[in-house]
Amino acid sequence: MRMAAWAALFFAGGFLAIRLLAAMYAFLDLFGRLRSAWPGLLARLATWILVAGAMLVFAGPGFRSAVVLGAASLLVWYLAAFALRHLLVRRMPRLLPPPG
Amino acid sequence: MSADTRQTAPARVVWLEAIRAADAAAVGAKAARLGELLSRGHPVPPGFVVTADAYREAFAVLPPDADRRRALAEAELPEALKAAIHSALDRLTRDHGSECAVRSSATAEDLAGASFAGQHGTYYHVGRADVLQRIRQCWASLWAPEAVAYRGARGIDPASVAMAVLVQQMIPAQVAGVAFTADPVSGVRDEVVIESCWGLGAALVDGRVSPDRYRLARAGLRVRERRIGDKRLMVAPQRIEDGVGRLREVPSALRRQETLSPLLARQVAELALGCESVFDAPQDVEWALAGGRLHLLQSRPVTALPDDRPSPKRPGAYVLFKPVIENFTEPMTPLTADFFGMLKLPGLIQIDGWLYFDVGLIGRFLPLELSPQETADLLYLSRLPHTPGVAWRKLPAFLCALLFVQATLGTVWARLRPLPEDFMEAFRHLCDGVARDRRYGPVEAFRRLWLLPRMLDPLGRQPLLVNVVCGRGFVWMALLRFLLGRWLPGRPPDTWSRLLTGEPGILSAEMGREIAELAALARSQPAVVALIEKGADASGLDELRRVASGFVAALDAFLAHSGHRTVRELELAASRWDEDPVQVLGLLRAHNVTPHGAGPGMPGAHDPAAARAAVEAEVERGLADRFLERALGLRGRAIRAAAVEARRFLKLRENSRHFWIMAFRVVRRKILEVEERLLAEGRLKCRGDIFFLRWAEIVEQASGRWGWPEVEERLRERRLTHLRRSRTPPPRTIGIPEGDTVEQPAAAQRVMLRGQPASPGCYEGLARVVLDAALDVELRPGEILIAPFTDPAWTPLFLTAGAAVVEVGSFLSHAGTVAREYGLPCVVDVAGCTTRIQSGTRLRVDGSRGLVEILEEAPA
Repeated sequence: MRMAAWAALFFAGGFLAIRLLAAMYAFLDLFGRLRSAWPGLLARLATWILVAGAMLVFAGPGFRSAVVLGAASLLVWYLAAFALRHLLVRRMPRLLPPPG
Repeated sequence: MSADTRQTAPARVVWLEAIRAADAAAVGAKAARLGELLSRGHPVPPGFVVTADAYREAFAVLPPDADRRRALAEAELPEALKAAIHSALDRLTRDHGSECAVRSSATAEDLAGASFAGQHGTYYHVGRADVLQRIRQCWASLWAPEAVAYRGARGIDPASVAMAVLVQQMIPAQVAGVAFTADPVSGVRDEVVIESCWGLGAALVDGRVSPDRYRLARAGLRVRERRIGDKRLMVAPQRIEDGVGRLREVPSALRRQETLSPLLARQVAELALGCESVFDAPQDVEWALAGGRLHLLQSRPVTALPDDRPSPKRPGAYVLFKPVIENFTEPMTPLTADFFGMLKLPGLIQIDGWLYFDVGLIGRFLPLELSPQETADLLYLSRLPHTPGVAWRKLPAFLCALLFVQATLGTVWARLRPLPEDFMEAFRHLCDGVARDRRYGPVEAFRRLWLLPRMLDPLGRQPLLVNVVCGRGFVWMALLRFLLGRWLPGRPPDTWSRLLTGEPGILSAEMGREIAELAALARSQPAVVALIEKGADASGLDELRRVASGFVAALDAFLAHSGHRTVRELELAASRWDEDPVQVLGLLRAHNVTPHGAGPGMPGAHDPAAARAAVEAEVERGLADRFLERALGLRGRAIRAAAVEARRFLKLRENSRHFWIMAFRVVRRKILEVEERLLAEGRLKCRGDIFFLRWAEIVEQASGRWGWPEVEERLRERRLTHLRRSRTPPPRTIGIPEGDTVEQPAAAQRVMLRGQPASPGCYEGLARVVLDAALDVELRPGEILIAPFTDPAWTPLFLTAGAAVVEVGSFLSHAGTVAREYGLPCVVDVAGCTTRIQSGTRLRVDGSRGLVEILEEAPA
């Protein structure tokens, strides 16, 4: 039972990381419309930060690590994927620019 | 050889009329066959043959260690032979013009198993002064590396072959081509296949043009099928002395114009069948049309019929990758294949220029008990003949795959939610920037725009990623079908697809309506109509700019946002609408021949949102009797939520395609810049050839390490391979028994064709088979469009049609998406519908069940 709860909170941590990342990315995605969109974006970010905080508080010391580990794992995977995707793209010889 | 008195030297120069089929050892197979045909009254141009003995004598005196090719090209001809040739030339040029064609006729040519097509020298417009040199070059061509390799591969002893040379009247063909009395690809023997192009046939034989293709039933010689090629190039019928080669651009107005009328096609077929009756075997005939007369240039046995062809052995099981195949009518050119090949995606493989799924790899992750055939069915047809069992042992792999997908793409799904409708316009700006930036070559542009977006790129700059994640729409569609089936089992089975229509803002549907509006604007201006009906070319467009500036402004506005689209838009070799706006004028032609306001898809003729609202109301009424539904409405909300999400993803998927295609325009422009450079340096000789090179080869050329000689032969080979592969659709599956992927009960096949439902509704009417959207503009309002595939170029026809039946496609394909928005029933994936259904056949199209019923065959 404890193991299942730990796993559930681990995945919940991953889910939270996805939502937090998306809330932060939203500033980039809507950069051209920040003048009108910023209140909504801030509210979204604040909401997910609050949810994450609440989860950490209510998880208790025994399960807090599960949430943190889940979020950290997702973050590490997300960053690693950007490096690893280069392995899926074949290198091609470079064309020298025309003289002048 | 017959004892004809016109032999001008003992067995060295012989007139064609003295030659019979049995003389092949002396005059080569080509000349022997032509002599036989001439003697039977066929229209073979007059000429004479320098026999193989002349070659043998020249060959016999070569030094043993000599480079045979060079030595033969420089050999000194005996005086008696020169005199005989000149004497024959005098007579030929006196009666038939000052120029002739010099053609090789090897004694091993045109054997049943080896055609030697294009292996040996052929020279056109040869003046008297050059004839001897061309004869020597024909001899030398017997020892060209590719001809030696070809003979070696077929076990033909090099010493046993000799070369005769045929000197004939030069035929300045306005149209030329080949005709096969048996389909060289499928082996079907009840029809004659004709390919034709403008000018001399050399452009076709070299694979330089996509020819017009006609299929005629052998019995009655009725044209069964015609496909009009984009004939960009031609070999001019007259000699051109500008030193830049003999290929010429075909005027725009002629590129998509058909080269043969039905009457001429029948005459060519009769000519070919006449040759077949002489030799009693299927023939491959070269013909030319000049001054209104048909000429027979060659007749040889059809080689490599399917039963003669070695079947390719490839381990594994594969099924065509449908999201790409539905927009390709031809295999990818080598350069496009090279660019697609940059992405090493497990499970995706290129075979002969087509993309395939690896069924074995995908089957390992599907937690269902499926055979390879059933997995292929599921991937290609999105349907299964029965409900499969769960494969529990595959469940861990499936769950890991799900976790992987969620961890990798979850952020993208979450980022999508708050974005406005037009967020992908950012990609247009990125494309403009990359196009202007000279630091980006074609490869770098492809990587930046398509393969490797940056970590801090807004999602609007990653439309391909958006397209990929929209696969989630399938989950919502499946949920919607499940909920409807569970709570409303009595509802019609197409309820789910009716709930997916009426989403405003689908760009491809909007594009079709804009084309209709452009056509309406054109109709109001007689000058524009006249030009469009005539078949405008680039100069016509300039004229339009002068006389109809209002229309041109509207056209420019259309091109500003949709000019990056075209036919076969995933192919880098395909020119875009804004590059060649004449293509759009061709689309408008489809509208100008139909009365305004026809068809259910025309603006104002159908309101898909209102139709969906009616279905939603029916669903709510159907649920009302369920427990607590009136009080809480939970079931109704669940169905609505699933439908809203599915519609959102379907729309995003179609719209994201509109944007990621822009990357292809940028990459194509960069490639054309490189091509321009290589042409100017003389490393390439012909526009368009660059798409038949691989990227590494282009780099070698651009660096100066390679020149034209290094690529000439491989270009020719690849063009011919491409042309050969284009003649037939690719196999739907490889490594899986053919036929298992299509469920068609034999008894029903006579009257019922089965496909996938793509847009709901039933419609009854007359069929119109349209194989080329730019040419077959006869589609009348309310007729049922029968098409091989669809892409944006077909959209205007959807506005006119009453229903659509498409050979390749899926629920999410362009055909399905646009048909749903226009409110016309559509069935896709109907195998062989363009050949099985004739124009004029009365049909009932059931877009809800995916059935096409033949009610009454077309009148003969």
